[in-house]
Amino acid sequence: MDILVGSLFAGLLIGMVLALVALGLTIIWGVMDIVNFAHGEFLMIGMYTGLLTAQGLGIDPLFTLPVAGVVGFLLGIICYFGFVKFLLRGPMVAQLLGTFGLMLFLRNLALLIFGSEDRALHHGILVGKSFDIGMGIIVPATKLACAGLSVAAFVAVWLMMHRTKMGKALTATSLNAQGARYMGIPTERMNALAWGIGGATVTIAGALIVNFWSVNPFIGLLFTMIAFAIVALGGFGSVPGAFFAGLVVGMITELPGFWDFFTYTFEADWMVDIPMTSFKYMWVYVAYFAIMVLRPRGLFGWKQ
Amino acid sequence: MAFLEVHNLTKDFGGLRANSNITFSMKRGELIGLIGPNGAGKTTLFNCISGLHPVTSGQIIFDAEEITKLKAHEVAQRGLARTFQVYVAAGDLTVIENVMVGCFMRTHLRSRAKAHASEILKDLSIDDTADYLVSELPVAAQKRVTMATAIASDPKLLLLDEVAAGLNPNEIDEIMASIEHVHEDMGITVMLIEHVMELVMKISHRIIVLDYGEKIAEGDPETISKDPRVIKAYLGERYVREHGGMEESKE
Amino acid sequence: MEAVRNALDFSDFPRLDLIVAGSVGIAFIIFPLFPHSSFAMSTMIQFLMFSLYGMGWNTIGGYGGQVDLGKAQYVGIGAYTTAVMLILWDVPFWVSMPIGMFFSVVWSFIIGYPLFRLKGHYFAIATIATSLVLKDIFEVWDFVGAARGLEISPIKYHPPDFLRLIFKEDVYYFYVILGFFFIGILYMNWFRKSRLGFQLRSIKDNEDVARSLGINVHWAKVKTYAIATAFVSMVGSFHACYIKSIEPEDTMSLDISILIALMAMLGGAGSLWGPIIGAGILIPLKSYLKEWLGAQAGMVGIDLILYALIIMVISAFEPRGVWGIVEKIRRRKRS
Repeated sequence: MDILVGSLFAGLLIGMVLALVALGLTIIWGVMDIVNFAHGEFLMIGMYTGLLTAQGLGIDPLFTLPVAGVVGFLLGIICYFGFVKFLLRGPMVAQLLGTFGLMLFLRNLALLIFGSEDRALHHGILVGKSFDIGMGIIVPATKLACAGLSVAAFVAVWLMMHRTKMGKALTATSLNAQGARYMGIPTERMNALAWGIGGATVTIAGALIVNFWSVNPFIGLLFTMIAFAIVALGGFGSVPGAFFAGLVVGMITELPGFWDFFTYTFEADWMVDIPMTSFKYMWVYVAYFAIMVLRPRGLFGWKQ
Repeated sequence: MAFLEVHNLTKDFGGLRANSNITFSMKRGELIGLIGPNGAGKTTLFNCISGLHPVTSGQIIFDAEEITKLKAHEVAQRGLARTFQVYVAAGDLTVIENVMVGCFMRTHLRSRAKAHASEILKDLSIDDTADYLVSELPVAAQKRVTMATAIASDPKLLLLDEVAAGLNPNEIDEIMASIEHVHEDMGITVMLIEHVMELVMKISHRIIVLDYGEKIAEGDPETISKDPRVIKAYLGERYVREHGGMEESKE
Repeated sequence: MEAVRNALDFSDFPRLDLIVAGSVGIAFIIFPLFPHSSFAMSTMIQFLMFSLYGMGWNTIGGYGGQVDLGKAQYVGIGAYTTAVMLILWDVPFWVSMPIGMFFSVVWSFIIGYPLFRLKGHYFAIATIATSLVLKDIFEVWDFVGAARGLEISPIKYHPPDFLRLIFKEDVYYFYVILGFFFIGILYMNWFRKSRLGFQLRSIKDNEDVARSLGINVHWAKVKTYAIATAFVSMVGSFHACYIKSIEPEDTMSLDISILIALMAMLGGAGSLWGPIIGAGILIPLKSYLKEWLGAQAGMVGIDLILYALIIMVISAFEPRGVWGIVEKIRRRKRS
């Protein structure tokens, strides 16, 4: 039983962080209908930023979030004005391959600068500590804090998009870009803003994830695909959708835990032989495929 | 037996009713005009008949076969062709290649498709544009290409969606001659959506009028032009009250 | 018969194109007679292989406008079928290649049917997802060597072995793949003029118009996807015999899928010469960048950074590719 509740809990916690990872992708997608393959690379940069700031300044990793946010915001804006803007004129295939080029560029730049080895945080207020929340379930303190901070960041962005004037303009653009243009909302600035917010949220997520996950230059693609799955499930462009879909995908990544639970519960020997942990992320891809084919608008979607 | 029969056709988009209970029929060899103010549901009706939109309820019978549930390509293969109102050919197909796509519905052989396509281009007197991209042509020629492509599939019934829109008076005369040529010499039954009244009044045998998704009138051009409901739909209630009918307003 | 005539008929190209294409073709045939490094030879073989991948992609991606970013899974199916059959049952290449194509085509129908309900970005990402799923399965599947992959040991055979396609000298591989290359061009020349080719170009233009012209859009896409798949799987089988050591990471990775699409785009998607031009630019560029820069100490990744920058510049400023520029100039000259 404790395996089940433990997996459930772990899935929820990682799901909250993953929701923040996907938030930027869904905003960019909604506002300008473009796929950003480099999304996971932004996250990787966020992870390095968190790690290096913490080590360089000797502060706790949790305090590096503002730095990561600023880096991500600038990165998003630079990418938009320096590159993505030019892609918008071209056909879809150019947009896909263009952001793929961006991904390759960032990945190999990181490889050149940081080298290929895994790096992890070893010090921090929360690193290595954990809570026993009863029933024999032990929750690492980092994950709990990161999940909480992710939700806080998520809510902050949501409030910004619904309460501030600029945020409302952004929401309007993602609902109907043409209509928003006719109402005098400057498309160009909204696009840049979407990239800025998208970049900032995902780098913050990266700075959180680095607390319990080691970083290397190749980590991006996995998170890109996870984010795609979340966005597909939540509905393209939907912010609340991304949150709930994040939780669902978090559960999917914990499938091996559930698998173990059922293996023990039913004493099913054949289940032992299947290496579920190796398939951990495959289910995310399968989920994406299934969602797209069966319910292309996502569970909560309003835009296709 | 009617050639095309539409019974109680209704089409909803979400909560919006685009076509409501439309019933009409058409004989082989007829030429029917479909008119109505913008947003009356004319193109939706075409989309339903040609199978692009599934209907919400109702029945469509074409040449003694029910086609209500058929997909667009199956409807087309049974001899029901159409043109599109807003058709921007952005692709890399030239005029003759466009027409060949239509020809390929009836043949697998490229040589036969090409020969047939050149014939049709000559027939509609646009053979001099054969090797241009559609997007390079003026509007009038583009409209002819869409007509040629539809005819190339050798249809029994042709639905024309605003082929005269945006043309000048000379070009309207030309396209009118083409429509009559298609109708009379090729023996294709034609139904056309048109806003250009001098065209539709002149060549239609019968006219059907839609307003707010409903059929409000049907009859020969003479009757339709005097029908108060039609005039009201087009000109608005106030205009009719102040000026009387359409006939008087012309004088 | 008309199909054969169409495949051999290049008369709709300007004379200049035919002269250039003819001389390049002859240059390929006599290339091994001239002194060359083994590196140049292997680059040449890579170029021919990727041209064929690109031609396959071009059917669905170029003429049909469906951006497929999952072609690597079929490289994998082809390569693994040939390798497994050779290692376990000593089945010759010429038998295992069609079997691999058969498996690939069956798989392409299974995933193609649901896949083509999607459009645009959604389709593109779903193709990536299917390819990654297959790669993940191969990485844990012991029968195919899991993540270690498979190794064809040439010692067991007596090269030159034309049945099993095991050679010591690269020149044999070169002529085999060159043969495939010429057949591929003829096939594509037929395809672009065929009924299916026209239907696809119409679909790319406007799907509703295509439907109203009696084209079963979904079926036409699925069929073409299978054709593209067969091409890729065929070359995948060759890849197994040529490289002799295959693992999921280098036969089925996303990078391969992207490279295939990228070449076709760079050369000019939807044209006969496009993928060949694209492969002719990218493959030498990639391998020489790696040769010159990749091996230098402290510069790991610099070749791929340059490569990425080139991709970015092309997508931003010339997405129609080399052939697109040529056509634009020709059009301007004519009018």
